[in-house]
Amino acid sequence: MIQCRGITKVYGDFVALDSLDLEIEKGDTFGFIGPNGAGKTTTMRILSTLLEPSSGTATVGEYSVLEHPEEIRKLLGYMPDKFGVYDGMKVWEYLDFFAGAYRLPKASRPQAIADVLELTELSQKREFFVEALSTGMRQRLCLAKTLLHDPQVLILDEPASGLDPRARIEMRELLKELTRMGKTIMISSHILPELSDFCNRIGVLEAGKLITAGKVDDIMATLQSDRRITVKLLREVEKAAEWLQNHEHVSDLDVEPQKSILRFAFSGELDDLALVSQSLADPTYGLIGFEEDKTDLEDLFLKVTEGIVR
Amino acid sequence: MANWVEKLENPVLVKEMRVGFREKKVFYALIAWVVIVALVASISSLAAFEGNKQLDKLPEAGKYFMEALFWVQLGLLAMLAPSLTTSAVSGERERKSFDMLLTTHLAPSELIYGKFGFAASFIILALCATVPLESIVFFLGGVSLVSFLTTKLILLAFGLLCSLYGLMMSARENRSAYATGQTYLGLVFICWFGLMGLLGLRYGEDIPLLVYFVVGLTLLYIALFLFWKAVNHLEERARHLKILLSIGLTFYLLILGTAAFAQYSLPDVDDAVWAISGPVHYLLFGLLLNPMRPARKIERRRFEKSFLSRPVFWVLLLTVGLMLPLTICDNDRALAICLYGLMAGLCSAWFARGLSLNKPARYPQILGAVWLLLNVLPAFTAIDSFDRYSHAWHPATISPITMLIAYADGHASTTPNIAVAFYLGLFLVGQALHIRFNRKKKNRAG
Ligand SMILES: Nc1ncnc2c1ncn2[C@@H]1O[C@H](COP(=O)(O)OP(=O)(O)OP(=O)(O)O)[C@@H](O)[C@H]1O
Ligand SMILES: [Mg+2]
Repeated sequence: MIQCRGITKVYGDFVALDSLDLEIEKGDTFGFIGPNGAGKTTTMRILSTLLEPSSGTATVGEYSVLEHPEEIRKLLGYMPDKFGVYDGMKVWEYLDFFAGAYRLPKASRPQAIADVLELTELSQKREFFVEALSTGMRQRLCLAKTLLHDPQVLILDEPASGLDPRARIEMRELLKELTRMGKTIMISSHILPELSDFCNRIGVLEAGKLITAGKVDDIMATLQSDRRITVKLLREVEKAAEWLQNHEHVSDLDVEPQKSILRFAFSGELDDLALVSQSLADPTYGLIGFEEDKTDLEDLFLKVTEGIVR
Repeated sequence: MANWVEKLENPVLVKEMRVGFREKKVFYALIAWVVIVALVASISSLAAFEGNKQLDKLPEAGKYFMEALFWVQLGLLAMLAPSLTTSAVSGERERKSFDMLLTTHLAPSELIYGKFGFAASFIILALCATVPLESIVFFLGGVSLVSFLTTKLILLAFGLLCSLYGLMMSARENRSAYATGQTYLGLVFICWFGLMGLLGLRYGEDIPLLVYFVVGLTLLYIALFLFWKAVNHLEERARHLKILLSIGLTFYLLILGTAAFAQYSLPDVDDAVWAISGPVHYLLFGLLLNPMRPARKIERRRFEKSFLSRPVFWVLLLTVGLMLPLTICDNDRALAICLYGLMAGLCSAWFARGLSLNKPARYPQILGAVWLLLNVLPAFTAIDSFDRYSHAWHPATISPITMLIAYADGHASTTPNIAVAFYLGLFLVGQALHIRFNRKKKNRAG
C-alpha cells in the first residue's frame, strides 16, 4: 500500500532523511519508532503529499506522491502531530466542515458525523465548542475528522501524545478496531509498549536512516540471540549458582543471595533449557520460579538506537 | 439539480460565515461602520444646509452630502476591507490547521473563494447598511439614481479589491502580522494610483463610455490576478500559473482590441491612447516577465513545457502589441513614446528578473524597487530644467512617466540619448545575470 524508494529530504545541508526504503502492505499496522528528530514526521508529511522529497519517490495506493497528490489525498487520512482547531465552532460544526471538505454528500453527513463521534466516544460533546475541549478530546476530535471520509490508509503522527493512561488504552482499542476494519495504518509514537500491542510490523528510524523494519517477533528474535532466564529458589542458592556456572550454555550469571534469585543468559536450544529446569527442580533447591524475561519494544528501542540527539 | 447546488456549496464559506458572524468583533465592526458614517452624515448635512439654505439650492446640498459620504466610506473601506482577509490563510498556518485543510479534497481555489466570499459578504452587508442613511440624498435631490448606484459600485469594487489584495498577501506570508503590514503598505501605493483614477472618473467631464469599459476591464483583471495569485501562493502548481498567465494574455488582447477599436471608430480619440500605451506596456513587461517557477520539481517541469512560461513569447507578444500603433497612429511623438515604453519596460524588467532568478518570490519587491528608483529619482531632476533643448541628455528622460508628461506638454521629440544608453546597460547586466544563473544550473545538474 505504501512504498518509499530512496527518499531523501535535505533541509539546507542538513540531511533529515537519508535514502529511506520502506514498504507497508495493505492491512498492515505499521509502528514507526525512533528518537526525537529521527525524521518520522518528515516521512509522514512526504507520504501525505505535504512535503516534496529532495530525491526518491514514494507511492501510496498506486499513486506517486509527486505525480498524483490529489488521488492520494482521496484515500488517505492524515493526523498531524501538532494541530490547532478553530475557535467559535461546535464539535459537530467542525466535523461538518471537514465532511464538506472531504466531499461527503450532504445527505450522508449527519450519519458519518454521528458514526465517528461514536467511534471516538465524543457523542456527549457534540454541542460543545471546540475550544472548550481538553487536549485529549481534541486529539480524539482530530482523529474523528481524519476518519470521516473512511480512508483506506491512515497516517497518524503521535496520536496518543497528551492522552491520559485510560484514554491511551481507549485509543489503542480504537486503533485495533480500525485494523479489524481492514485499514492500513502507519503510526508513530514514543510510547512503545503501546505499539507492540497492536502493530504487526514496526520500523525503527534513527538520524534519518531506517535501522530495521519487519514483523515485531522477527525483529525481537534477531536481536535476541540469548534468552534471559530468572530462577527463584528457596534453598542452596550458591550450590545452584556453581552448577549453572559450569553449564555450557549459561553465561552472564548474576546472583542475588538475599532474595535467592539467579539470573542468567541462556544460548542453547529449548530442549537444553528444559533439561536445566529439570535439574533445578531437584527437591534440594526448592524451585519456586523459572521464567523467561520478556523483552519489549522499550528494550528493543534502547538496543538498536544509539540515542543520537540531533 | 440538488447535486449541482451541492457542488456550488463551499464548505469553507459555510464555516467562515458560521464562525465569522458569530464573533462579536464582526458585529461591533459593523456597528462602528454605521455609527461613523451616520456621524459624518449628520455633520456634513449640517454643513451642507448651512451653505445652501434656500430651497432652490437643496440639490447642491445633496451633492455635497453624497460626496462626504462617498469619501468617508472609501476611507473606512481601505482600513476595514483588508483586515477581513489578512489573516485568512496565514492564520490557518499559525494555528497549525493548514496541513489538515490541504490534505482534504478541497481545491486551493475553493479555499480562497470561501475566504473571499466571507469578506465580500461582509463588505456588501456594510455597504447595504448605510443605504437608509444615504437615501436622504433623494429627498434633497441633485443626485440621480444612476450616479448613486455608480458610487456604490465604485465603493464595492474598491472594497473587494482591497480584501483580495489582503488575501493574496495572507496566502503569501506565513505570519499574519507580516501579511497585514505588507497589505497596508502596498495599499498606500495602490490607493495613490487608485485615487488619481477615481478623481478623474468622478470629476472629469464628458467621459466616454469606453473609458468606463476599459476601467472596468482593468479592475476585473486585477481582481482575477489577485485571486489566482493567492491560489498559487497556497499551493504552487503549474496549473495555477498557467491560468494566471492565460488571464493576463486574455485581458491584454481585450484591452489592446478596445484601444484599436477606439482609434478606428471614435474620431475624437486621438493618438494619446497609444501614447499612454507606452508606459502601460512598461508596467506590463514587468508583470509578465515574472520569473514564475513552482517550487515543486515535477510542477516546474510541467510548467516549463508550456509556451506561457517562456519570456520570449511574452516579449514578442508585447512588442507586437506596441508596434500595432505603427499601422494606425499618425502622431510621431505618440510612436516615440510607445517605442520608449518597449525599451524601458523590457530592459528594467529583464534586469529585475536577472536579480531575482535565485529567489523568484522576491521578484515583485525587486521590480518595485527598480521602478521606484527609475521613476522617482529622475523626476526630481526634472523639476528645475526639463525643456525641449536640454532634452536629449537630461536624466529625467530615464523615467517613462516623465517622458509621458513631456509628451503631453509637447516636447518629447528628440531621442533621449542618456536613457537609451542607460537602458541598454541595464539590459546587458540583466542578460549577464541570466547567463550566470543558467550556467550554475547546468553545473548543478551535471
Ligand atoms: N522545516 C524544517 N527546516 C529545517 N529542519 C527541519 C525542518 N523540519 C524538520 N527539520 C529537521 O529534520 C529532522 C527530523 O525532524 P522530524 O520532525 O521528522 O523528527 P521526528 O522524528 O518527527 O521527531 P519527534 O519525535 O521529535 O517528533 C529534525 O532534526 C529537524 O530538526
Ligand atoms: Mg514528529
